[in-house]
Amino acid sequence: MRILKALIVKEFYQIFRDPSSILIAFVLPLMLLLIYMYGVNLDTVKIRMGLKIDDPSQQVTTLVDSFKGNKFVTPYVYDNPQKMYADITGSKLRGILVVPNDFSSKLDRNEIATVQVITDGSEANLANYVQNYSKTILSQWLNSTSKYSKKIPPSLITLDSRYWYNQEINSHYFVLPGSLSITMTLIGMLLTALVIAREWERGTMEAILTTKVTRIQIVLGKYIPYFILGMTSMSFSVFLCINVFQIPFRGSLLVLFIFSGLFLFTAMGQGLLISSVLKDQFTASQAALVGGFLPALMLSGLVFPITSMPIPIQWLSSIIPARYFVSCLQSEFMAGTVPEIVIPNCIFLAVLGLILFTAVYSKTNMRLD
Amino acid sequence: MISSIEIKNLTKKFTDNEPAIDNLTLNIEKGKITGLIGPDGAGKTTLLRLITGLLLPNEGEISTLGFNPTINQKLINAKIGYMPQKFGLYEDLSVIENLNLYAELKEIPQNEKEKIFNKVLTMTDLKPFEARLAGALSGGMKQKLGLACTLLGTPELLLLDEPSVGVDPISRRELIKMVRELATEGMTILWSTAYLDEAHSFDSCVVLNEGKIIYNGLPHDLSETGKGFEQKVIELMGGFNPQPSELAEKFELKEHNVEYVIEALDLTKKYGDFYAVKNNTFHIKKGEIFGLLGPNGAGKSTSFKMMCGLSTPSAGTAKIMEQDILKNPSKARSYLGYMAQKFSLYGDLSVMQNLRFFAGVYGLNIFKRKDKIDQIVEIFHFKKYLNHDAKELPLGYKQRLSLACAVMHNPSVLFLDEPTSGVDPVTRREFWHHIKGLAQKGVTIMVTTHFMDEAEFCDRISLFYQGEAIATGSPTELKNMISPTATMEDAFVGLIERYNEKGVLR
Repeated sequence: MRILKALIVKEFYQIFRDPSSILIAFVLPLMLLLIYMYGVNLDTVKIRMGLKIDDPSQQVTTLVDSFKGNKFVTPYVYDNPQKMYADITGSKLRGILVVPNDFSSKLDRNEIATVQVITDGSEANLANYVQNYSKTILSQWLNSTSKYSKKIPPSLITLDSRYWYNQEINSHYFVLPGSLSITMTLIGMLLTALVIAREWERGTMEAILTTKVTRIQIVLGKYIPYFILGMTSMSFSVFLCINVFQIPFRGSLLVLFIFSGLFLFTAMGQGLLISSVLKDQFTASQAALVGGFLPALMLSGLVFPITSMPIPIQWLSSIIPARYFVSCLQSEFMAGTVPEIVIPNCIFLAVLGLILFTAVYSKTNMRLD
Repeated sequence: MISSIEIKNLTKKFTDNEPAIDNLTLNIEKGKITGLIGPDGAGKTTLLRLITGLLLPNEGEISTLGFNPTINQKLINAKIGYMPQKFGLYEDLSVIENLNLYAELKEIPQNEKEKIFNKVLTMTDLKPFEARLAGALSGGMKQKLGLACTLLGTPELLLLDEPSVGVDPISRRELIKMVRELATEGMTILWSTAYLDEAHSFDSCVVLNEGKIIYNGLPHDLSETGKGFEQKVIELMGGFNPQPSELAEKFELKEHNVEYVIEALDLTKKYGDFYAVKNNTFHIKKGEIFGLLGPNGAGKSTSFKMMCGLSTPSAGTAKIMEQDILKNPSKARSYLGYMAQKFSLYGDLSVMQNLRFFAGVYGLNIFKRKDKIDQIVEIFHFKKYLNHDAKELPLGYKQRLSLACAVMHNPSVLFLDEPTSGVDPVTRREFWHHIKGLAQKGVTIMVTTHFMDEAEFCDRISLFYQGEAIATGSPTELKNMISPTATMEDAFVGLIERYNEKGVLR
């Protein structure tokens, strides 16, 4: 007990004196949350569009006003098409709407009128916005503002949509809690991947091995301090999410801490395993980033929905602990405790964590060869 | 005779074919200090690790304090103190925190800790630095602290792997003193060292070469004096037969008529209120070997770095071949070959690739490059290591390679920062043979060293202490400042003591 305590105290001294661990545990989560809160917006985007009106009729002027009045579009009316094409090439515009000179005459004659939408396909996501915005604005104009509105028969079916768990469909509500998985992966994997390797590199391990230290003490001497650091950082992030960024939290803090602890346990297992096998800080950090951090970011369902991935990648994602953590986090925050999600995910994390712990224990060598 | 360690027919092989320890049989007497010496790669570290159980033998038997290290590593660990070569102090822990950690790991009773710490800190003079981070200590202090941590818990057997590498003579004396005072009745000590004068003062010595014992007995049986002992040991290792230095013969010095090739003019480096180097002035003549001596942290390396333009002086300047290093840095540097204290070649490149790279960056004539490299390979016997990564070379070869790269472009001036630190006696002789040869040819050399015998090879010496040159002169002049019979080490220690007493040296 005494030896273990000394090892833990030593590790904490090192953590507090190493600016990078404080940076990763407290500054990084704050930065991530700020970026996700104020920088990233998955919901709506304001877009600059060019309008080329070849139809001089009175009706079309009201259409231009509809574009001007829309809060998601900033329209620019062009006379010179060459200038407009140059602007879209120069990324000053995201799309163009061309109203041909027979537009209103066709509508007057009850014929089908056409407008042309040109978008910048190199930004596929924004191109979709251009198309959808144009469609919506045109149909709103047609149905309400224009004189043709009387000609349109009223729709027989209206949709009455409700969004459960996130009524305002605010993406912050699931992205911010999900970003906890990034911080936890970094603390759990990157920091721990460095610590054992560092002891080998600096020769401290060789000196420690010839004292009374046992193998389990070395392993626990690494697990416990970083577990405490990780959970403290987690509490800090949760506090920021709930109290500062006002993300609704509908679940139970106890459950949140239980599965976060389990996730941290598996992430640390990965990190320490990398570290004790590679024994070199540089390679260990590369391995942690490529083998742990990137999958956790890409394949956890935080940024890209898992259901839209190809089947083999979906299988691959099922062995990534972050996936189970993200799904627990998002449901705990938005839907409250859902046993059907929490229990199987926790079992998976616990089993994987124990397997990794055993692997770390058996890979922690008490000899040099 | 009672033995603490008994080794019978021990063989240890690593993946490559040559055994590191080759059918070795050895008993280490209880209660004695035994010196373990031998060239680099002789198997000293491997032997110590086998004794602790950090490595497992392929064949043969070891009994450490009566236990088999393969089975009873834990029981052995409870009774030994082992100080590895790159000792594992936690650099981000303070002196007292390091001590405390090792005291806990060795389960020293809480009520005794304070008393022991006081004793250790007083003895190592580390008391004023208690709260300083271990990483911020000088080399000598680090080793003293490492030794103190190893000695905690009064082990029955003390295994020290070259504790005095890179340590100045004063700190070395203190290390030996510490061991002799703290070593309790009956403590057995196995001390691996590259300093033969150190080994000569021990009770017994074992000379290892290529994993075999070539001498085991009393140092005084080999020779009564330290110098004679060194000569005998070198003969045992195969001897060093000086041929005229080929390196010097093949060296093509560019003729010049500069009288003072290296000049330091009021060179000063200040960090905050602390002078790392203070108003240092000297002039070095063509073909002179100028030695910078001084304890760790005296400002030698800082001076070197300023003089080759790697660090900007706070005041003053330096001239190389009359070129001001501040005004014409690249011109001044073009005359210069620099061998840094730390191995600074590309570890992941092979020996051949390193040589080719440096031939390239030094702008050697493309048609002469191959000849020059072939020449160097022959002079330094690189042939069998040509395709090895530089980081895997034995220390002696690393240093040879560094020297080879530093002289490749036939510089008029050579800066050598501790070129022989940690190198075995034979290789050291070879190095100095080259250095002297190059100086005779007209190359001007500035060198630092912790070996006092090497200091004697210098034409002039500047003794550095706390950033200042406290004495300058030929080795004989410096020795005479203390007494006509003084050794170089006496002069080193004496002059510094005198400076400390008076504040100023007259």
